[in-house]
Amino acid sequence: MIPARAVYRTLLHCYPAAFRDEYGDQMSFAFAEELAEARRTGSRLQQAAVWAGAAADVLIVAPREHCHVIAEDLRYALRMMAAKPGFAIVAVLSLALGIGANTAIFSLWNGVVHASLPGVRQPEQLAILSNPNAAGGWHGNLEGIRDWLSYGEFEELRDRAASFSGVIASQSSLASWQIRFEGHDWEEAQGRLVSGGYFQVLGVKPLLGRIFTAEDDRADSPHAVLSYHYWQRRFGANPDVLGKTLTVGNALLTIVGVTPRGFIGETAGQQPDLWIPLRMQPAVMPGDDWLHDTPPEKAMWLHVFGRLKPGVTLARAEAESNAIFRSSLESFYGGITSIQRRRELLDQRLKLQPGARGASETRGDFSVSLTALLAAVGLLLLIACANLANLLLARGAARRPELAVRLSLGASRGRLVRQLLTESLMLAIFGGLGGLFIAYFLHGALVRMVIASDEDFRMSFSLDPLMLGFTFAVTLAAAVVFGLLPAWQITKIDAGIALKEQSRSATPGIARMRWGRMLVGLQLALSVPLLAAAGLLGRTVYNLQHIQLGYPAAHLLLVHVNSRAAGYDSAQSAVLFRRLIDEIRRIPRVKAASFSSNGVFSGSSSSNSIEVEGYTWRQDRNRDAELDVAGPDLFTSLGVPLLSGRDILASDRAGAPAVCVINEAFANRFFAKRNPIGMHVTSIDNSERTPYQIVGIVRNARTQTLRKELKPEFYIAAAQLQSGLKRANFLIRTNTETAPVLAAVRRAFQRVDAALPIGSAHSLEERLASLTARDHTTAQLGAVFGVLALTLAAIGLYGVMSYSIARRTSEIAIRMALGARSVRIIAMILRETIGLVLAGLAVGVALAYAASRWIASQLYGIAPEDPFTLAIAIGVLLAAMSAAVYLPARRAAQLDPIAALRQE
Amino acid sequence: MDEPTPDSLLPLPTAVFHILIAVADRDRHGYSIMQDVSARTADKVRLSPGTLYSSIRRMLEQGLIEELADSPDPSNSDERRRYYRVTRFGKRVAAVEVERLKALIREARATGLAPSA
Repeated sequence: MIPARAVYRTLLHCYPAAFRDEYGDQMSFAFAEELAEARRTGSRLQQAAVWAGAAADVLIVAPREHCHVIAEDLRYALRMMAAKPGFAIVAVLSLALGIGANTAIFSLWNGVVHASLPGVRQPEQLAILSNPNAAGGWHGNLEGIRDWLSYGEFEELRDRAASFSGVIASQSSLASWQIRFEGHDWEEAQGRLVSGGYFQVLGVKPLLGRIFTAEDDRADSPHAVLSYHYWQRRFGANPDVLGKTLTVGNALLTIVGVTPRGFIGETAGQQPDLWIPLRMQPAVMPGDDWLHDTPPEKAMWLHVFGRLKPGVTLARAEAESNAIFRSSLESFYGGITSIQRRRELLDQRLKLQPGARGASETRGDFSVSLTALLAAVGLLLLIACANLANLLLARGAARRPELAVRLSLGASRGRLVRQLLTESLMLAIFGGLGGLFIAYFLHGALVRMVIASDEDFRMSFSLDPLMLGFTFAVTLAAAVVFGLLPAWQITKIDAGIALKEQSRSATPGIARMRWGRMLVGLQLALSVPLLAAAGLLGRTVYNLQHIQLGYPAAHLLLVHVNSRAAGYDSAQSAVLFRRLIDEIRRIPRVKAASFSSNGVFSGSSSSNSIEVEGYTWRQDRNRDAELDVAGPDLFTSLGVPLLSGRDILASDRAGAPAVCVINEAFANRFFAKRNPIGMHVTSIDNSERTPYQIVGIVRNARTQTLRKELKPEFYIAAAQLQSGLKRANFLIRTNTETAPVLAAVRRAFQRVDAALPIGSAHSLEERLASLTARDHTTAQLGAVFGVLALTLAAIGLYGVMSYSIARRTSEIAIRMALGARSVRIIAMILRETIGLVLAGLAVGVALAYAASRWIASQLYGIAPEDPFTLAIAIGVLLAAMSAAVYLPARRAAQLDPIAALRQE
Repeated sequence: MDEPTPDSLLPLPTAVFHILIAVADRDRHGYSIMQDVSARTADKVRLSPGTLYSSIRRMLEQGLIEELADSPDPSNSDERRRYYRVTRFGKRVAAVEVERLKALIREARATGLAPSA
């Protein structure tokens, strides 16, 4: 039988060590006597009562004693913080910065990259059948994996797919509509066309009124559902909004419901104002019918989601969806006789992906930037922690007498470590709270930066459990990282020696100095990749700003006109565009003007299958070339130099020989050593073949993409395009700043047709700025983090050097008294540091190389391992480190040896 | 540490008051306190070792009792036993607590909540 005292002694381990050490013996005496007394009475009940008392003590008294110790530690930690407020402020501030930056970036990363769609029931059951990263549309034909689906394809899937409990479709790009509420002026609103089952399948219950139903897919249903956000903002949450009417395009819609707060739909980061049934598309966008396709062309513009039935895998749903998709393609292309053409057209399929996170245009772009930034702020926090650890080490030396007294009074080393860790935790908790505060502001700034490149992006700062958990974990990790090592090192003291040491200064424990130096080395190593990344990003922005477009970027105004939406047919549009050009050219400060279908940096592009005279396609799968439809004098107006031949002219009208202009890439690709002028390019639009004679070659110009390689492109005359243009992008070259000219352009448009809506109007420079905004953001943040890292590392080294020199005052004084000159003293100190700095830099360079592939996709015109940038980063670090060492070294060299020794 | 005022310690926890009573007339060690409290209350209040020493720890910190340097009972050779004695401050606190309780009883009697003596 185990002796009762041994059992009781084991129970005593539930009490804090200090309490156990102090009273453990007494308690077990008392317990043993109590038990012996109970045994003497012979009553088992009495004995059981004694044991029950001991058990109750463990459950009630022991936790209370632990709380007492913790409270004591906290009180002590607060007193220590109050005693050295400078240290506490520096520590809390640097931690708050580090934790705040981490929390803010994490919150954005979580919202953009990771979070499920808000307000959607069981989002993990959703599958997306279209490409979640693409928003937009395509009219014509596509091959391979489909980005978007047509309305007809959606209907087939909705009606036939058994893998899903429901299938829904939505307009993939957020539309900007001009709308008018009864009795009000026109105003702009963002919205989406969605299928009838949209809200039901997403599991959304209306806050007010009703939502769309399957009925809305069957009949034209002139209804609209508002988002909570819009209802609040536009209607002040007035419940009378139900039944009000609004006009969009040709449609008169009645508001039937409001969605609950937080619901944004199927696309992450976008907040629509209202939703309209898909069946209303032709009325909402007059001039375009995207619901009915005539073979062989389709309007592909929808995102399609399905809610998987329980137990159905994504693979099974994909197989079934593709079978349905294929049969719908076969019936659609049934009329095509050419077997080869049919095979090409049928080469399309769907790829299903988990839909819980919804669609997002920005996610792909941002996830790389944000993951890199998350890594950068993580490094930054590590550097801050290393710095704090160093400060704590240095401070620990000053606290040696205090700790030695506590040790000699009987405190255990574990007790001291616990006390010191409590102090670190205290600092970290204050830092964490400050971090949340900083994160709140940083988050706002970050979102504004995202909006600069994606104006539909919306995201509010929310303290959800995941965010709080992250902040808490980071705080805790920081406390352990910066607290544990110093606590362990500082308490490694012999009470007797430490107390005697008080009277005279001595070289501190070699181990502690070594740890301090290693921490500085680590900071240096971590700073190299951050600084190098900042440099690379900075040069990327510079390269993007100084990119050769092939024409001047300044003084170019871009105006988009959608004539079809304003009710013009093809023939009328051609006349309209001619009149608009004439009016624009009459404006005094306009140097030249033209238009084209895609314009420059409008986001739209087109391509067509072609055959080129004298050129035979080999095994090419893709027999397309980029195509734009140009107004007269396009290249002259834009300023793209002609290499040979001529521009598209006003004389290239319907009836005249069909002509085209090609770019340099086209000439190099298809006419290696031949002269292209006079040769023919045949454009194949389905079975229709139109040959165009090449009349000019222009230099390559960047018109749609800054980063991608330029493709072969040909340009045909708008007046010779049989189907005519539905919309045009006007390119207006001005003599002066574009802003004042824009007003004149608007007036000119009004003179031609007062009802003509101008889609968008801005200067090319504004457009380019918004295209490179994300690069700017990343570079700015990178620079901020780089400078912070540099500062922290320099402070760290400065601190360690000042401290070690201060501790060596007597040694230096003796050397000087023996005749060493200041220069020698400085050289000695520098020599002792150079190894540390070089080792840190060497590790840092290795880290930078290892991390370089992470950043590669963010760069433009510069290699991720660019040696020049790395050299500059190292140079900057070396300069900062030299300053951090030189200042304390010079102070040491200016010592008055006699005074210093007397002080000792 | 600042000396607490007697009032700041009131009301005294039951265990603390009983311990004060136990060490009021003579110095006692832990088990003796436990026995005294049990005997005095006819086993109605029993202090377990944990409760006892947790209270003693607090009372030492508050200055209500003090530990004796030497065993007061030379016949008891067990040197490991620690003896406690009430301090002057402890007596003052006990007196103030008694006054507080008296006032409470007076009020209970005045309102008829408790029978008059």
